[in-house]
Amino acid sequence: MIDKKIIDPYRVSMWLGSAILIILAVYMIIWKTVDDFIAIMVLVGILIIVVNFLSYIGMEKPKDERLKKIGTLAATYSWYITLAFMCFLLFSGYYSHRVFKPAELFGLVIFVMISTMLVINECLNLKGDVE
Amino acid sequence: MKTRIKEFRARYNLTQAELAEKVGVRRETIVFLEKGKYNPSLKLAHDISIVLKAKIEDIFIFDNGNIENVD
Repeated sequence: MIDKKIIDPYRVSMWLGSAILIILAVYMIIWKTVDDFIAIMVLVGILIIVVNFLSYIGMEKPKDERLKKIGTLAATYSWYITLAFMCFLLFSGYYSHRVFKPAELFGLVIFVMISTMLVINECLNLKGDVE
Repeated sequence: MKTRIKEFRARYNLTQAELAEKVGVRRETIVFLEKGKYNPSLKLAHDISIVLKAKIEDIFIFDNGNIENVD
């Protein structure tokens, strides 16, 4: 009566898209620059995430109320942490007179947004519920 | 909360995947329900009770704690 574990293609796709974006974000944070290859790969990573996100959090077929609860909470926390992080960047940049380059800023925001969403979602998924 | 889904499932020879498909959720949700780690919505509990031909209170066993009725 116990079924074999099936690999969720949406989850794998989300991890792939996120891995691409996180690697590129780290590159942009370190080198503070963007070239044609990086720009195209960012677009590919974002497209993979956009296409699979709603199914990953159970809002599109195959629907699932547990994943919907977990995904909604993870996305909310991710948005909240990213907003706080952006405020922190603004204040720290202003008071330290540090000028961030656009690529560096973009990398930092992408890194925080994607990593918090994935980590919170996976932690809640292991726990089973949001309560 | 404890559940008797596994017991009822065995009675009707249903796999977790088959039950999940019938009630419109993913198999992992049934796994967490059987472990008592997920509190389902009333709609999902109702759907499961219909599929397993039992009352909700026979499948889902809640710990009532300090809650008392009006009497």
